[in-house]
Amino acid sequence: MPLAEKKPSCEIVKAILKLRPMSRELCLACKGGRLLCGRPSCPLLARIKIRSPIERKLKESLFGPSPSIFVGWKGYPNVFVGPLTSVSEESPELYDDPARWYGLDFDEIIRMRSLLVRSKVRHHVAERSRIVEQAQEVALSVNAPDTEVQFERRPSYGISFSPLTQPLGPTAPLKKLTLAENPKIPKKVDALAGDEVSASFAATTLYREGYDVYYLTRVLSSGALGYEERRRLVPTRWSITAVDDLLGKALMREIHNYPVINEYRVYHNTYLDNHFEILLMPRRWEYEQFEAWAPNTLWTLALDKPAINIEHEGYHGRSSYAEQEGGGYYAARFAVLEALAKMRRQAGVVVFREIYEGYIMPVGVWEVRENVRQAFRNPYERFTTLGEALESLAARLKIPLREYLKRSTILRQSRLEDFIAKAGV
Amino acid sequence: MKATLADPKILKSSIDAISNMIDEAGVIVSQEGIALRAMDPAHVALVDFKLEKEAFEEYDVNETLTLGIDLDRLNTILKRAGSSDRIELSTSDDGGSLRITIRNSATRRFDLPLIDVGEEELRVPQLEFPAKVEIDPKILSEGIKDAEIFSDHVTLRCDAENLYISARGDLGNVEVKVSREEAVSFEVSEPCRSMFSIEYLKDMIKAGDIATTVRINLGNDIPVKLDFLAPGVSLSFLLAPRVESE
Repeated sequence: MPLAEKKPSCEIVKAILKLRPMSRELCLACKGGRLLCGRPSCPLLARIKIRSPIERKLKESLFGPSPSIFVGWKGYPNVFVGPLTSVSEESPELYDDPARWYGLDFDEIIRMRSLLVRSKVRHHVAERSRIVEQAQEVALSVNAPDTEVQFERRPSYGISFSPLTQPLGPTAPLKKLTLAENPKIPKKVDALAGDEVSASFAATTLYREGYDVYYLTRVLSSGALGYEERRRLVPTRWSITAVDDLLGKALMREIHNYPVINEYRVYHNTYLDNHFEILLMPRRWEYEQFEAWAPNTLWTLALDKPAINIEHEGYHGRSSYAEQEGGGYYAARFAVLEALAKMRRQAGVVVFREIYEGYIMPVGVWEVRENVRQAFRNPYERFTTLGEALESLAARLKIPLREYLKRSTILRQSRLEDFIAKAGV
Repeated sequence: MKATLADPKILKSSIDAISNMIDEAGVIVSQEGIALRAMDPAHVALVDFKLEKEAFEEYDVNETLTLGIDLDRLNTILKRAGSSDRIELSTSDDGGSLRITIRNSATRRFDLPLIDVGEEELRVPQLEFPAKVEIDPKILSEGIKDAEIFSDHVTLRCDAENLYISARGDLGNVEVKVSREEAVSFEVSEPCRSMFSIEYLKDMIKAGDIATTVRINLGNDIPVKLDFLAPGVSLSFLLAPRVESE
C-alpha cells in the first residue's frame, strides 16, 4: 500500500509527502549522494530534515551506549568523525545493525535512528590521534560501550537521509569523548587489526568467521584494517559499498568453483515499497540488475514515466563503477552471491528491482541487501525453461517485461547451444 | 617438446584476442602443431586456434600432449616479448610447467605452472552461412569502434551488393558500408543480418594483426564465424547473436 494512504503518524513522513516536483533529471542518477547538481547539499534531502522527537533529551553532554561511529565524506580528506551515542538504554546495538531491521516500517526506522546522537570532530583521514583510537574501540566492539560525550554546544535536532547510509539523527560538535566501559573486541578481530594484511583480506577473513557486513563496514570505516601506513578513516558511505564489493568479489571467486544449478529459479520479495524478482539461470556466473523507479518517488518527482536503469557484469565481474545504480547494485549483488555461496552453486542471475511510489525517502542501501536476503529465505519457484520463469515473474512486475527485455544484455544474448537444438529439428 | 618462433607477433596477438574471453584451456601440442579449442564461460563464443608446425622456425614434438594453461597468465608473459625477440616454447624438466624462453640480447626464462583443465565436451553448432565476405581486418575493427559510439551491440548485414556494419542508439546511429568491389571476396546467396555484442567483437578483432584478411561468415540470426587466416595459422571465432527486439 502506498504510504500516502496510510495516514502517517510521523511528522517526517508527512513533510516528505508535501514535497513538490523538482525539474532535475539528474536526481535519479545522483539520489542526493553525489551532488551532481553542483549544490553544497541536496535540496530534496534538505527539505525532509525536520525536528526529531527527542528534543527535550538533548543537553550539552550525554552519557549512554555508543553502538557505532560515523565518518562523513564532505571535505575529504578532512572529514567529520565521531561516535553515534544513544539517548536510550534499550538495546542500543539494534540501532546500528540493519541486519535486524527487516520488517520495520519507515516510521520505526526514523524513530530508532533519531535516538542516536552523532558527535563529530574534523579530522584528517590519515592522522592518528586519541579520538581515532577511541572511534576504533567503539567500531570494533561487539557491544555498545557506555560513553560520556561532551558537546561544544547542545545538539541540533533533526534527521537527515542518504541513499547509502542509514538515516542520521541529531548532531553536535564533539568536545570530549570518554569511554566509561571497556569495549568488547573479539580476539580474532583484534589480531587481524594488528596484522600487516590488506584490508580486503582482513574483511573477507572476518566475514568467513561469521561477522556480518554491517560490523565490517564499521570496522573498515574506522581505519583499523589494512597495511599500517595505508590505514585511514573511510567515510561511512564509501565503506558500505567497499565492503559489499570486496566481499562480493571474494564470494564470486568462491562460486566460480561450484556446479551450476540445474533448473531456472525465481525468488521474490517486497519490503518498503521495493519489489525484487530474482531470476537464477542454469549457467555460469554473470549478473544483471534492473532498477525501475516509479514516477513519483523522491528521485523521480520530475518524471512522468517510470525510469529503468541497468547494469551488468560478466563471469569475471566488473572493473568500472556501476554508475547508473551505485551502491544499490553492489548491495544486491553481494546478497545474491552470499545466497549462491550458501547453496554451493553458481548461476547466471538477473535481478529486477521495482521501486514504487511509497518509497518516499531513502533509508540507506541496507534495505536492498536485507530485501534480497529475505527473498532467498522465501520459498522459490522452479522452472525447466526460461520462458516459463519469465512469464511467472512478469506477472508480479508492474512494468511490462518487454521494457526490461529490450534493455537487457544477458536475456537478449543467445548461446551457442541454442543453435544445436535448432539444427536438430 | 620444443618449438621456436622467430616472429612472436602471431602468438602474441592470438593469445591477446583469446585470453580475455577464455580464462583457461587445454592446449594440444602434436606433431602437426599447436591447437586450442574452447568456449567462453557464458557459452556465447568459441575459439578455434591452430598454429601449424610450418609457422615455427624449429619444431620438435614427438608425442601428443594436452597442456592446461591459464591463458591470462600466458598473455601477461607474452606481452613482455618485443617484436624482435625469439620465443621458444618447451616443457620444464619436471613436466609441470610450460617454459617460455624469450631470447634477444639476454635470455629470459618464464615457467608457467600447468593447471588441470576439466574435459568439458564442446557442443558446437553446425551452421550453413549464406554470406561469406572477406575484408581487410582494419575495416571490421574500425567499423566496430564506430558502432561503439552509439551502442553496445552492432548489426552485421549483407545484401547482394554490400556488407553493412551498423549500430543504433538513443544518441544516434552509424552505418559503415563495404561494397562488393571493396571486399577481397564476396559471396552472398541471400540477404542476411544478425546482431552481436561489441564487448566480444572487440576482443576478437585484436587478432586482426595476424592476418591480411578476415572472412566474415554470416546468416540470419545465427552465430557469425570470423576466420583470421595467415600462412601456417588459423584463428576462428564463433559468436552467438543477440536476439533483436521489436
